Amino acid sequence: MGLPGSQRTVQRLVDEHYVPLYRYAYRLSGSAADAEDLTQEAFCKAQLNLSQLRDPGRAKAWLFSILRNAYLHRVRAERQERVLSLEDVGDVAEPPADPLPDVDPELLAKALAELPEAFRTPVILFYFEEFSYRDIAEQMDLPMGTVMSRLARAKAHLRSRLLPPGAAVLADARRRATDGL
Amino acid sequence: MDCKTARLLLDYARPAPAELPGGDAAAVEGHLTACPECEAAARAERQVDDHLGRAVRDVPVPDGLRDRLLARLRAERRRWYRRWALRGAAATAAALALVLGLWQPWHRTALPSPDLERLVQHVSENNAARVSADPDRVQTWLRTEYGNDVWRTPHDFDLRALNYGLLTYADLAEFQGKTVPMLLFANGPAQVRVYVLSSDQFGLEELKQQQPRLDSHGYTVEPRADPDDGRILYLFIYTGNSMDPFLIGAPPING
Repeated sequence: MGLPGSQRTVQRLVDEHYVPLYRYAYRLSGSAADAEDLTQEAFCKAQLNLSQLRDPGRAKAWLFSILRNAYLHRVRAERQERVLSLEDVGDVAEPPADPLPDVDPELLAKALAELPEAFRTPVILFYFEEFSYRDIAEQMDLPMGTVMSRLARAKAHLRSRLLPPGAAVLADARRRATDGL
Repeated sequence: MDCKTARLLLDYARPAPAELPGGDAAAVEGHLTACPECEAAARAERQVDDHLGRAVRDVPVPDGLRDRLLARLRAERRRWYRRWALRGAAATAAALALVLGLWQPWHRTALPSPDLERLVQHVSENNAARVSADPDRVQTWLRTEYGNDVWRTPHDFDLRALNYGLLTYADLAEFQGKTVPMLLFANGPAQVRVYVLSSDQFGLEELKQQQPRLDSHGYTVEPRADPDDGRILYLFIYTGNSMDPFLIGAPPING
């Protein structure tokens, strides 16, 4: 590890990214305490490795990637992650209720926690909006097709757990529309 | 663009960030304008995504998080610099040790080896000159050898004469940063060292008032002023608690 990045640069990184980074950590870990620890750990690592960030425009993706690695390191150490089989997760073909009911935060946390990390990460990154599929694929070191597949399944899982039946139509309709392709 | 292709591309047709090349994005939008069924499906999909996206992003950020992060980062920086400084110091010490390690063997080989025969001859000749049963001769030797007319040697102790036949060594010695004459008397295992202190070198008034004191190592420390010269004080440091073994008439002690 090299010389820590300048205090001014590091402070700017914190100011610009600590809120989404904390939220990402919270959604990954499901715990406020773990999220704060992970956010701190990510920024500490970033401070020591700032020279690796060659393109400042990629700072957010870089920080998210550091945080995910820190999280995976913990999960591997603890081996406590619950894994849900997504084989039974289907797509819902009914049209959504209008307006959609508010999402219960506890149910959301539970539904995310039920997802294996390989599915949870892409769906969280997807909903953070600023990450393209290519960004997600790069962060997870996966082909884009795999990301899309996992994302579809994870979204379907969340919808089935959080929204009334019929709230997700496109996946199933699209699947039917593209059968045989 | 047909419905099948449009629905394939819809996943990539997010408003932000743009995933599709400009031409494909425009083609999808064009199809949605013309096809109410696909438009409804796309709107429903985006509505659900927006709804879930808001929920996923709705995480309260703890108060003071930014300050705690910055404080931790400052602490980590300080820790890093401390470690860096310690490593630097350790590296410097290691380099110094290496240099000394390399230099010392060379240095040793550059030094002359002791000439033992010459050394024994020198000690023998000098000892013959300085060690004498006559205290005046010892005193003369000290004064002549080192050119100091102030130095004296003790003659008596409580009106009894010191037995200079027991004198085994006389020369200068380091005493609390000063160089002073030192006489060593031995009777078997019993020994007394006599330091000759001068008021030119030390403030002696307080010491002159002190009584003999037996210390915890079995030595007695006894200061005595020269009866004829107020500038001189003899400091006797002897084994046991009596000077008797070193005075004329004392029997030899077998070691």
